[in-house]
Amino acid sequence: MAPLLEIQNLEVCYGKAQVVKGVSLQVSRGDCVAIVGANGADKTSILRAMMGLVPPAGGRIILNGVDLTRRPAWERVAGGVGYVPEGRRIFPALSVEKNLLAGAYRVADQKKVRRSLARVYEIFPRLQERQRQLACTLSGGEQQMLAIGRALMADPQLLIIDEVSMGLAPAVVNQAFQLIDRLHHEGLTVLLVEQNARKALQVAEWGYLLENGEIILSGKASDLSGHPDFVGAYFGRNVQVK
Amino acid sequence: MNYWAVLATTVGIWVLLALSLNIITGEAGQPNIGHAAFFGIGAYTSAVLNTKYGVDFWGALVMALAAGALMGAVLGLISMRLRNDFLAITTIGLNFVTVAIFQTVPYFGGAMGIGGIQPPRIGGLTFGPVELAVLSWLVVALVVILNRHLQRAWFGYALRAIRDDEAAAAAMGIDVRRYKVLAFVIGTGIAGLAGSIYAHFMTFISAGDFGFNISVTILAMVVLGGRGSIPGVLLGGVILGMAPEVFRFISDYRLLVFGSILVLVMRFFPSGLLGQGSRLQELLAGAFRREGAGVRVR
Repeated sequence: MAPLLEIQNLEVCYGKAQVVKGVSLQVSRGDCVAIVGANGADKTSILRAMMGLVPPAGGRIILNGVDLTRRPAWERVAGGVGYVPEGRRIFPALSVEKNLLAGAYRVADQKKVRRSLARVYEIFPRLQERQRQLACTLSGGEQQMLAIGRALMADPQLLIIDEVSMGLAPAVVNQAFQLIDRLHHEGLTVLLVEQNARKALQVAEWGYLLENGEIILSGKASDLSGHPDFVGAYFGRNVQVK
Repeated sequence: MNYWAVLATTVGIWVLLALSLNIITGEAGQPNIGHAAFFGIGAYTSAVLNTKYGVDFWGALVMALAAGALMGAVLGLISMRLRNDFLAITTIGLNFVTVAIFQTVPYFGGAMGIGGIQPPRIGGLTFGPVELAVLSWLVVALVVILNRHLQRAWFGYALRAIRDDEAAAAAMGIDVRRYKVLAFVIGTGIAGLAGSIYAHFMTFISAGDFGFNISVTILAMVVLGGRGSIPGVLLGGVILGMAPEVFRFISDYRLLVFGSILVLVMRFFPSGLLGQGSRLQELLAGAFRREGAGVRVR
Protein backbone atom coordinates (compact mmCIF):
# COMPACT_ATOMS: atom_id res chain seq x y z
CA MET A 1 0.00 0.00 0.00
CA ALA A 2 1.28 3.48 -0.89
CA PRO A 3 2.38 5.55 2.13
CA LEU A 4 0.17 8.41 3.31
CA LEU A 5 3.11 10.83 3.21
CA GLU A 6 6.26 10.41 1.19
CA ILE A 7 9.17 12.84 1.17
CA GLN A 8 11.75 12.27 -1.56
CA ASN A 9 15.20 13.94 -1.46
CA LEU A 10 13.87 17.10 0.17
CA GLU A 11 16.25 20.06 0.13
CA VAL A 12 15.71 23.40 1.88
CA CYS A 13 17.93 26.46 1.50
CA TYR A 14 17.86 29.76 3.37
CA GLY A 15 19.64 32.06 0.95
CA LYS A 16 22.84 30.30 -0.01
CA ALA A 17 22.90 28.04 3.04
CA GLN A 18 21.49 24.55 2.48
CA VAL A 19 19.97 23.37 5.74
CA VAL A 20 18.08 20.24 4.66
CA LYS A 21 20.15 17.94 2.48
CA GLY A 22 18.22 15.32 0.55
CA VAL A 23 15.92 14.00 3.27
CA SER A 24 13.67 11.08 2.31
CA LEU A 25 11.10 9.53 4.62
CA GLN A 26 7.74 7.80 4.62
CA VAL A 27 4.74 7.78 6.93
CA SER A 28 2.28 4.94 6.42
CA ARG A 29 -1.38 5.14 7.35
CA GLY A 30 -1.94 4.44 11.07
CA ASP A 31 1.75 4.81 11.98
CA CYS A 32 3.34 7.02 14.57
CA VAL A 33 6.70 8.20 13.23
CA ALA A 34 9.24 10.38 15.03
CA ILE A 35 11.94 12.59 13.58
CA VAL A 36 14.41 13.20 16.37
CA GLY A 37 17.62 15.14 16.56
CA ALA A 38 19.51 17.66 18.65
CA ASN A 39 18.79 21.36 18.65
CA GLY A 40 19.84 22.84 15.29
CA ALA A 41 19.46 19.61 13.33
CA ASP A 42 16.90 21.47 11.16
CA LYS A 43 13.93 19.30 12.04
CA THR A 44 11.57 22.28 11.90
CA SER A 45 12.85 23.31 8.45
CA ILE A 46 11.71 19.91 7.13
CA LEU A 47 8.24 20.44 8.58
CA ARG A 48 7.97 24.00 7.30
CA ALA A 49 8.81 22.77 3.81
CA MET A 50 6.35 19.88 4.19
CA MET A 51 3.63 22.35 5.14
CA GLY A 52 4.45 24.73 2.28
CA LEU A 53 5.62 27.51 4.63
CA VAL A 54 9.05 27.63 2.97
CA PRO A 55 9.61 26.67 -0.68
CA PRO A 56 11.74 23.54 -1.04
CA ALA A 57 14.92 23.91 -3.13
CA GLY A 58 14.57 20.34 -4.37
CA GLY A 59 12.81 17.03 -3.88
CA ARG A 60 9.17 16.03 -3.76
CA ILE A 61 6.40 16.00 -1.14
CA ILE A 62 3.69 13.48 -1.91
CA LEU A 63 0.52 13.23 0.16
CA ASN A 64 -1.99 10.49 -0.60
CA GLY A 65 -0.28 9.98 -3.98
CA VAL A 66 -0.64 13.68 -4.92
CA ASP A 67 2.51 15.75 -5.49
CA LEU A 68 2.10 18.89 -3.33
CA THR A 69 5.69 20.14 -3.58
CA ARG A 70 4.86 23.44 -5.26
CA ARG A 71 1.34 23.81 -3.93
CA PRO A 72 0.36 26.42 -1.27
CA ALA A 73 0.04 25.56 2.42
CA TRP A 74 -3.76 25.50 2.46
CA GLU A 75 -3.83 22.63 -0.06
CA ARG A 76 -1.94 20.45 2.42
CA VAL A 77 -4.56 21.21 5.07
CA ALA A 78 -7.34 20.53 2.55
CA GLY A 79 -5.54 17.25 1.75
CA GLY A 80 -5.88 16.09 5.37
CA VAL A 81 -2.81 17.36 7.24
CA GLY A 82 -3.15 18.89 10.70
CA TYR A 83 -0.14 20.85 11.92
CA VAL A 84 0.87 21.83 15.44
CA PRO A 85 3.69 24.33 14.92
CA GLU A 86 6.74 24.76 17.12
CA GLY A 87 6.05 27.22 19.95
CA ARG A 88 2.28 26.60 19.62
CA ARG A 89 1.68 29.71 17.44
CA ILE A 90 -1.87 30.14 18.72
CA PHE A 91 -3.73 33.33 17.79
CA PRO A 92 -3.27 35.32 21.02
CA ALA A 93 -5.92 37.98 20.39
CA LEU A 94 -8.66 35.44 19.60
CA SER A 95 -10.64 33.50 22.20
CA VAL A 96 -10.00 29.80 22.81
CA GLU A 97 -13.11 28.82 20.84
CA LYS A 98 -12.26 31.10 17.93
CA ASN A 99 -8.78 29.59 17.80
CA LEU A 100 -10.36 26.15 17.59
CA LEU A 101 -12.79 27.27 14.89
CA ALA A 102 -9.85 28.65 12.90
CA GLY A 103 -8.59 25.07 12.75
CA ALA A 104 -11.83 24.06 11.02
CA TYR A 105 -11.47 26.80 8.44
CA ARG A 106 -11.45 24.34 5.53
CA VAL A 107 -14.46 22.38 6.79
CA ALA A 108 -17.65 23.56 5.10
CA ASP A 109 -20.04 21.19 6.89
CA GLN A 110 -21.23 22.93 10.07
CA LYS A 111 -22.38 19.67 11.67
CA LYS A 112 -18.89 18.30 11.23
CA VAL A 113 -17.40 21.44 12.80
CA ARG A 114 -19.66 21.09 15.84
CA ARG A 115 -18.80 17.38 16.16
CA SER A 116 -15.08 18.21 16.01
CA LEU A 117 -15.51 20.95 18.61
CA ALA A 118 -17.35 18.55 20.93
CA ARG A 119 -14.60 15.96 20.46
CA VAL A 120 -11.83 18.48 21.22
CA TYR A 121 -13.71 19.60 24.34
CA GLU A 122 -14.09 15.95 25.34
CA ILE A 123 -10.32 15.44 24.96
CA PHE A 124 -9.46 18.76 26.62
CA PRO A 125 -12.18 19.69 29.16
CA ARG A 126 -9.93 22.54 30.30
CA LEU A 127 -10.37 24.26 26.94
CA GLN A 128 -14.15 24.09 27.28
CA GLU A 129 -13.90 25.74 30.70
CA ARG A 130 -11.90 28.54 29.10
CA GLN A 131 -13.65 28.75 25.74
CA ARG A 132 -14.38 32.50 25.94
CA GLN A 133 -11.01 33.44 27.40
CA LEU A 134 -8.38 35.09 25.20
CA ALA A 135 -5.79 32.53 24.11
CA CYS A 136 -2.90 34.71 25.31
CA THR A 137 -4.12 34.33 28.90
CA LEU A 138 -3.70 30.52 28.93
CA SER A 139 -0.76 28.76 30.58
CA GLY A 140 1.92 27.09 28.43
CA GLY A 141 0.37 23.65 28.85
CA GLU A 142 -3.11 24.95 28.02
CA GLN A 143 -1.76 26.71 24.95
CA GLN A 144 -0.22 23.43 23.79
CA MET A 145 -3.62 21.73 24.31
CA LEU A 146 -5.18 24.51 22.26
CA ALA A 147 -2.62 24.12 19.46
CA ILE A 148 -3.26 20.35 19.30
CA GLY A 149 -7.02 20.84 19.57
CA ARG A 150 -6.94 23.42 16.76
CA ALA A 151 -5.09 20.96 14.51
CA LEU A 152 -7.66 18.24 15.32
CA MET A 153 -10.60 20.45 14.34
CA ALA A 154 -10.21 19.65 10.64
CA ASP A 155 -10.34 15.91 11.45
CA PRO A 156 -6.93 15.32 9.81
CA GLN A 157 -5.66 12.03 8.41
CA LEU A 158 -2.13 12.97 9.42
CA LEU A 159 -1.23 15.01 12.49
CA ILE A 160 2.20 16.67 12.41
CA ILE A 161 3.43 17.88 15.78
CA ASP A 162 6.55 20.03 16.09
CA GLU A 163 8.33 20.01 19.48
CA VAL A 164 5.36 19.28 21.69
CA SER A 165 7.55 19.32 24.82
CA MET A 166 9.14 22.70 24.21
CA GLY A 167 8.88 25.02 27.22
CA LEU A 168 6.58 22.73 29.20
CA ALA A 169 6.95 21.41 32.75
CA PRO A 170 7.92 17.69 32.94
CA ALA A 171 4.48 16.66 34.24
CA VAL A 172 2.78 18.48 31.37
CA VAL A 173 5.20 16.89 28.87
CA ASN A 174 4.15 13.45 30.14
CA GLN A 175 0.49 14.36 29.67
CA ALA A 176 1.17 15.62 26.15
CA PHE A 177 2.87 12.37 25.13
CA GLN A 178 0.09 10.31 26.75
CA LEU A 179 -2.36 12.27 24.64
CA ILE A 180 -0.39 11.66 21.44
CA ASP A 181 -0.29 7.96 22.28
CA ARG A 182 -4.06 7.99 22.82
CA LEU A 183 -4.74 9.75 19.50
CA HIS A 184 -2.47 7.30 17.70
CA HIS A 185 -4.21 4.31 19.27
CA GLU A 186 -7.56 5.77 18.18
CA GLY A 187 -6.28 5.38 14.61
CA LEU A 188 -4.70 8.76 13.82
CA THR A 189 -1.46 8.81 11.82
CA VAL A 190 1.10 10.94 13.66
CA LEU A 191 4.41 12.48 12.63
CA LEU A 192 6.30 13.78 15.63
CA VAL A 193 9.29 16.06 15.44
CA GLU A 194 10.95 16.19 18.79
CA GLN A 195 14.13 17.10 20.59
CA ASN A 196 13.14 14.95 23.56
CA ALA A 197 14.07 11.73 21.73
CA ARG A 198 13.51 9.38 24.66
CA LYS A 199 9.88 10.42 25.04
CA ALA A 200 9.24 10.57 21.30
CA LEU A 201 10.64 7.10 20.64
CA GLN A 202 8.52 5.68 23.48
CA VAL A 203 5.30 6.53 21.63
CA ALA A 204 6.57 6.14 18.04
CA GLU A 205 6.85 2.90 16.10
CA TRP A 206 9.42 4.14 13.63
CA GLY A 207 12.09 6.80 13.98
CA TYR A 208 14.45 8.91 11.91
CA LEU A 209 17.54 10.47 13.43
CA LEU A 210 18.48 13.81 11.93
CA GLU A 211 21.87 15.49 12.16
CA ASN A 212 22.83 18.69 10.33
CA GLY A 213 19.89 18.42 7.95
CA GLU A 214 20.55 14.80 6.99
CA ILE A 215 18.95 11.56 8.12
CA ILE A 216 21.80 9.51 9.52
CA LEU A 217 19.79 6.68 10.99
CA SER A 218 16.33 5.19 10.67
CA GLY A 219 14.66 2.13 12.04
CA LYS A 220 12.25 0.75 14.61
CA ALA A 221 11.90 3.25 17.43
CA SER A 222 12.79 0.59 19.99
CA ASP A 223 16.09 -0.15 18.22
CA LEU A 224 17.15 3.46 17.70
CA SER A 225 17.74 4.74 21.20
CA GLY A 226 20.55 2.27 21.97
CA HIS A 227 22.40 2.84 18.71
CA PRO A 228 25.89 4.46 19.05
CA ASP A 229 25.10 7.03 16.33
CA PHE A 230 22.04 8.08 18.32
CA VAL A 231 24.15 9.07 21.32
CA GLY A 232 26.72 10.69 19.01
CA ALA A 233 24.13 12.86 17.31
CA TYR A 234 23.08 14.30 20.65
CA PHE A 235 26.31 14.45 22.66
CA GLY A 236 29.18 14.22 20.12
CA ARG A 237 31.03 11.28 18.63
CA ASN A 238 33.49 10.65 21.47
CA VAL A 239 30.92 10.20 24.20
CA GLN A 240 30.32 6.75 25.66
CA VAL A 241 27.17 5.95 27.56
CA LYS A 242 27.73 3.77 30.60
CA MET B 1 -25.89 75.61 9.64
CA ASN B 2 -23.56 75.50 6.64
CA TYR B 3 -20.51 75.58 8.92
CA TRP B 4 -21.70 72.51 10.81
CA ALA B 5 -22.66 70.72 7.60
CA VAL B 6 -19.21 71.37 6.09
CA LEU B 7 -17.57 70.18 9.32
CA ALA B 8 -19.77 67.07 9.37
CA THR B 9 -18.83 66.26 5.75
CA THR B 10 -15.13 66.74 6.45
CA VAL B 11 -15.28 64.54 9.55
CA GLY B 12 -17.35 61.96 7.63
CA ILE B 13 -14.65 61.73 4.95
CA TRP B 14 -11.94 61.35 7.62
CA VAL B 15 -13.95 58.60 9.33
CA LEU B 16 -14.38 56.79 5.99
CA LEU B 17 -10.62 56.93 5.44
CA ALA B 18 -9.93 55.66 8.96
CA LEU B 19 -12.44 52.79 8.55
CA SER B 20 -10.90 51.83 5.22
CA LEU B 21 -7.37 51.76 6.63
CA ASN B 22 -8.63 49.78 9.61
CA ILE B 23 -9.53 46.85 7.31
CA ILE B 24 -5.95 46.73 6.00
CA THR B 25 -3.94 47.64 9.09
CA GLY B 26 -6.30 46.97 11.99
CA GLU B 27 -7.93 43.75 10.77
CA ALA B 28 -5.32 42.18 8.48
CA GLY B 29 -2.28 43.65 10.25
CA GLN B 30 -0.68 44.93 7.04
CA PRO B 31 1.20 48.20 7.51
CA ASN B 32 0.10 50.97 5.17
CA ILE B 33 1.55 54.41 5.81
CA GLY B 34 0.65 55.71 2.37
CA HIS B 35 -3.13 55.36 2.46
CA ALA B 36 -3.66 58.93 1.20
CA ALA B 37 -2.40 57.70 -2.20
CA PHE B 38 -5.62 55.73 -2.66
CA PHE B 39 -7.68 58.66 -1.39
CA GLY B 40 -5.96 60.74 -4.08
CA ILE B 41 -6.42 58.10 -6.78
CA GLY B 42 -10.16 58.08 -6.06
CA ALA B 43 -10.37 61.89 -5.99
CA TYR B 44 -8.40 62.35 -9.22
CA THR B 45 -10.29 59.56 -11.03
CA SER B 46 -13.57 61.23 -10.13
CA ALA B 47 -12.30 64.74 -10.94
CA VAL B 48 -10.85 63.76 -14.33
CA LEU B 49 -13.97 61.81 -15.34
CA ASN B 50 -16.24 64.66 -14.27
CA THR B 51 -14.31 67.62 -15.71
CA LYS B 52 -12.84 66.05 -18.86
CA TYR B 53 -15.45 63.46 -19.84
CA GLY B 54 -18.63 64.83 -18.32
CA VAL B 55 -19.30 61.75 -16.18
CA ASP B 56 -21.68 62.67 -13.36
CA PHE B 57 -20.88 62.17 -9.67
CA TRP B 58 -22.57 58.78 -9.36
CA GLY B 59 -20.73 57.24 -12.32
CA ALA B 60 -17.46 58.82 -11.21
CA LEU B 61 -18.02 57.51 -7.66
CA VAL B 62 -18.19 53.91 -8.91
CA MET B 63 -15.11 54.40 -11.11
CA ALA B 64 -13.18 55.97 -8.21
CA LEU B 65 -14.03 52.96 -6.05
CA ALA B 66 -12.84 50.63 -8.83
CA ALA B 67 -9.62 52.62 -9.37
CA GLY B 68 -8.80 52.56 -5.64
CA ALA B 69 -9.56 48.83 -5.47
CA LEU B 70 -7.45 48.07 -8.54
CA MET B 71 -4.42 49.88 -7.12
CA GLY B 72 -5.06 48.12 -3.81
CA ALA B 73 -4.94 44.76 -5.58
CA VAL B 74 -1.51 45.69 -6.96
CA LEU B 75 -0.30 46.66 -3.46
CA GLY B 76 -1.85 43.46 -2.08
CA LEU B 77 0.17 41.40 -4.54
CA ILE B 78 3.30 43.35 -3.56
CA SER B 79 2.56 42.52 0.09
CA MET B 80 3.04 38.82 -0.75
CA ARG B 81 6.75 39.50 -1.20
CA LEU B 82 7.27 42.29 1.33
CA ARG B 83 6.64 42.14 5.05
CA ASN B 84 6.27 44.59 7.91
CA ASP B 85 8.75 47.47 7.75
CA PHE B 86 9.61 46.83 4.08
CA LEU B 87 5.94 46.96 3.15
CA ALA B 88 5.48 50.11 5.27
CA ILE B 89 8.33 51.84 3.44
CA THR B 90 6.93 50.72 0.07
CA THR B 91 3.56 52.30 0.92
CA ILE B 92 5.29 55.56 1.90
CA GLY B 93 7.09 55.50 -1.45
CA LEU B 94 3.81 54.81 -3.23
CA ASN B 95 2.29 57.90 -1.58
CA PHE B 96 5.20 60.13 -2.70
CA VAL B 97 5.15 58.74 -6.24
CA THR B 98 1.38 59.23 -6.56
CA VAL B 99 1.58 62.83 -5.33
CA ALA B 100 4.51 63.50 -7.69
CA ILE B 101 2.53 62.15 -10.67
CA PHE B 102 -0.50 64.32 -9.81
CA GLN B 103 1.79 67.32 -9.37
CA THR B 104 3.83 66.98 -12.55
CA VAL B 105 1.61 65.37 -15.20
CA PRO B 106 -0.39 68.06 -17.05
CA TYR B 107 -3.29 65.64 -17.61
CA PHE B 108 -3.90 65.79 -13.85
CA GLY B 109 -3.70 69.58 -13.80
CA GLY B 110 -0.08 69.65 -12.59
CA ALA B 111 0.65 72.06 -9.75
CA MET B 112 -2.58 73.96 -10.50
CA GLY B 113 -4.74 70.97 -9.59
CA ILE B 114 -8.19 70.32 -11.04
CA GLY B 115 -11.02 72.81 -10.53
CA GLY B 116 -14.60 73.10 -11.65
CA ILE B 117 -15.65 69.68 -10.34
CA GLN B 118 -19.45 69.48 -10.26
CA PRO B 119 -21.19 68.76 -6.96
CA PRO B 120 -23.45 65.68 -6.91
CA ARG B 121 -26.95 66.00 -8.35
CA ILE B 122 -30.13 63.94 -8.11
CA GLY B 123 -32.76 64.98 -10.63
CA GLY B 124 -33.00 68.75 -10.27
CA LEU B 125 -31.40 68.86 -6.80
CA THR B 126 -27.78 69.98 -6.62
CA PHE B 127 -26.15 68.83 -3.40
CA GLY B 128 -25.32 71.61 -0.96
CA PRO B 129 -23.36 71.25 2.32
CA VAL B 130 -26.27 69.59 4.17
CA GLU B 131 -26.95 67.00 1.47
CA LEU B 132 -23.22 66.25 1.20
CA ALA B 133 -23.03 65.78 4.98
CA VAL B 134 -25.98 63.37 4.83
CA LEU B 135 -24.38 61.53 1.89
CA SER B 136 -20.97 61.17 3.57
CA TRP B 137 -22.46 59.84 6.81
CA LEU B 138 -24.79 57.53 4.88
CA VAL B 139 -21.71 56.04 3.22
CA VAL B 140 -20.04 55.81 6.65
CA ALA B 141 -23.09 53.88 7.92
CA LEU B 142 -22.96 51.51 4.93
CA VAL B 143 -19.23 50.92 5.42
CA VAL B 144 -19.75 50.24 9.14
CA ILE B 145 -22.49 47.70 8.33
CA LEU B 146 -20.26 46.03 5.72
CA ASN B 147 -17.30 46.06 8.10
CA ARG B 148 -19.40 44.57 10.94
CA HIS B 149 -20.65 41.86 8.63
CA LEU B 150 -17.15 41.02 7.42
CA GLN B 151 -15.79 41.07 10.95
CA ARG B 152 -18.35 38.51 12.11
CA ALA B 153 -17.96 36.28 9.07
CA TRP B 154 -15.06 33.96 8.27
CA PHE B 155 -13.46 36.77 6.29
CA GLY B 156 -12.80 38.89 9.38
CA TYR B 157 -11.84 35.82 11.27
CA ALA B 158 -9.23 34.84 8.66
CA LEU B 159 -7.86 38.40 8.59
CA ARG B 160 -7.36 38.45 12.35
CA ALA B 161 -5.63 35.06 12.22
CA ILE B 162 -3.30 36.42 9.50
CA ARG B 163 -2.68 39.55 11.61
CA ASP B 164 -1.81 37.47 14.69
CA ASP B 165 0.41 34.90 12.96
CA GLU B 166 0.60 34.62 9.21
CA ALA B 167 2.49 31.32 9.14
CA ALA B 168 0.11 29.70 11.63
CA ALA B 169 -2.87 30.97 9.64
CA ALA B 170 -1.44 29.39 6.48
CA ALA B 171 -0.88 26.16 8.39
CA MET B 172 -4.57 26.19 9.38
CA GLY B 173 -5.51 26.14 5.70
CA ILE B 174 -6.27 29.86 5.38
CA ASP B 175 -5.41 31.12 1.90
CA VAL B 176 -3.25 34.02 3.13
CA ARG B 177 -2.59 35.42 -0.36
CA ARG B 178 -6.29 35.66 -1.22
CA TYR B 179 -7.33 37.30 2.05
CA LYS B 180 -4.47 39.81 2.08
CA VAL B 181 -5.29 40.94 -1.46
CA LEU B 182 -9.01 41.12 -0.58
CA ALA B 183 -8.26 43.25 2.50
CA PHE B 184 -6.25 45.68 0.37
CA VAL B 185 -8.92 45.74 -2.36
CA ILE B 186 -11.77 46.49 0.06
CA GLY B 187 -9.78 49.03 2.11
CA THR B 188 -8.37 50.95 -0.84
CA GLY B 189 -11.70 50.78 -2.70
CA ILE B 190 -13.39 52.56 0.22
CA ALA B 191 -10.53 55.12 0.29
CA GLY B 192 -11.18 55.72 -3.44
CA LEU B 193 -14.85 56.25 -2.63
CA ALA B 194 -13.91 58.79 0.06
CA GLY B 195 -11.68 60.53 -2.48
CA SER B 196 -14.57 60.86 -4.91
CA ILE B 197 -16.85 62.40 -2.27
CA TYR B 198 -14.01 64.75 -1.27
CA ALA B 199 -13.41 65.91 -4.87
CA HIS B 200 -17.11 66.69 -5.48
CA PHE B 201 -17.43 68.30 -2.04
CA MET B 202 -14.40 70.60 -2.48
CA THR B 203 -14.96 71.11 -6.26
CA PHE B 204 -11.20 71.75 -6.48
CA ILE B 205 -8.37 69.34 -5.69
CA SER B 206 -4.59 69.51 -5.88
CA ALA B 207 -1.82 66.99 -5.19
CA GLY B 208 -1.04 68.51 -1.77
CA ASP B 209 -4.43 67.32 -0.45
CA PHE B 210 -3.17 63.71 -0.58
CA GLY B 211 0.32 64.05 0.86
CA PHE B 212 2.14 61.93 3.41
CA ASN B 213 0.86 64.06 6.32
CA ILE B 214 -2.68 62.96 5.41
CA SER B 215 -1.58 59.29 5.47
CA VAL B 216 -0.05 59.78 8.92
CA THR B 217 -3.24 61.46 10.19
CA ILE B 218 -5.39 58.55 8.94
CA LEU B 219 -3.05 56.07 10.61
CA ALA B 220 -3.16 58.14 13.84
CA MET B 221 -6.99 57.90 13.79
CA VAL B 222 -6.82 54.09 13.61
CA VAL B 223 -4.16 53.81 16.31
CA LEU B 224 -5.86 56.34 18.58
CA GLY B 225 -9.23 54.62 18.33
CA GLY B 226 -7.86 51.08 18.57
CA ARG B 227 -6.70 48.89 15.70
CA GLY B 228 -9.41 46.48 14.61
CA SER B 229 -12.16 48.14 16.64
CA ILE B 230 -14.92 49.71 14.51
CA PRO B 231 -16.33 51.92 17.33
CA GLY B 232 -12.75 52.85 18.24
CA VAL B 233 -11.82 53.87 14.72
CA LEU B 234 -15.08 55.84 14.41
CA LEU B 235 -14.16 57.65 17.63
CA GLY B 236 -10.55 58.19 16.51
CA GLY B 237 -11.76 59.61 13.19
CA VAL B 238 -14.22 61.98 14.86
CA ILE B 239 -11.70 63.18 17.48
CA LEU B 240 -8.82 63.82 15.09
CA GLY B 241 -11.16 64.99 12.32
CA MET B 242 -12.62 67.66 14.61
CA ALA B 243 -9.40 68.53 16.46
CA PRO B 244 -8.24 71.22 14.00
CA GLU B 245 -11.58 73.01 14.47
CA VAL B 246 -11.80 72.50 18.22
CA PHE B 247 -8.29 73.87 18.75
CA ARG B 248 -8.59 76.66 16.21
CA PHE B 249 -8.76 79.25 19.04
CA ILE B 250 -5.19 78.52 20.09
CA SER B 251 -4.03 79.16 16.55
CA ASP B 252 -0.27 78.50 16.29
CA TYR B 253 -0.21 76.10 19.25
CA ARG B 254 -2.78 73.80 17.69
CA LEU B 255 -0.31 71.18 16.51
CA LEU B 256 1.44 71.18 19.89
CA VAL B 257 -1.82 70.42 21.73
CA PHE B 258 -2.86 67.96 19.05
CA GLY B 259 0.42 66.03 19.36
CA SER B 260 0.35 66.12 23.16
CA ILE B 261 -3.12 64.56 23.22
CA LEU B 262 -1.88 61.74 20.99
CA VAL B 263 1.13 61.10 23.25
CA LEU B 264 -1.06 61.07 26.39
CA VAL B 265 -3.62 58.72 24.88
CA MET B 266 -0.88 56.34 23.76
CA ARG B 267 0.66 56.49 27.25
CA PHE B 268 -2.57 55.63 29.08
CA PHE B 269 -4.37 53.61 26.35
CA PRO B 270 -1.57 51.77 24.50
CA SER B 271 -4.03 49.65 22.50
CA GLY B 272 -6.08 52.74 21.58
CA LEU B 273 -9.14 54.27 23.23
CA LEU B 274 -11.43 51.34 22.39
CA GLY B 275 -8.81 48.77 21.35
CA GLN B 276 -8.84 45.22 22.65
CA GLY B 277 -8.06 45.18 26.37
CA SER B 278 -8.19 48.95 26.88
CA ARG B 279 -9.75 50.13 30.14
CA LEU B 280 -12.40 52.13 28.33
CA GLN B 281 -13.29 49.20 26.08
CA GLU B 282 -13.59 46.84 29.06
CA LEU B 283 -15.74 49.37 30.87
CA LEU B 284 -18.10 49.68 27.90
CA ALA B 285 -18.05 45.93 27.17
CA GLY B 286 -19.07 45.31 30.80
CA ALA B 287 -21.93 47.79 30.51
CA PHE B 288 -23.26 46.39 27.24
CA ARG B 289 -22.33 42.71 27.59
CA ARG B 290 -24.73 40.40 25.80
CA GLU B 291 -24.88 36.69 26.43
CA GLY B 292 -24.03 34.63 23.33
CA ALA B 293 -22.53 37.54 21.38
CA GLY B 294 -19.50 36.65 19.33
CA VAL B 295 -18.29 35.36 16.00
CA ARG B 296 -20.90 33.57 14.01
CA VAL B 297 -19.68 30.37 12.36
CA ARG B 298 -20.22 30.21 8.61
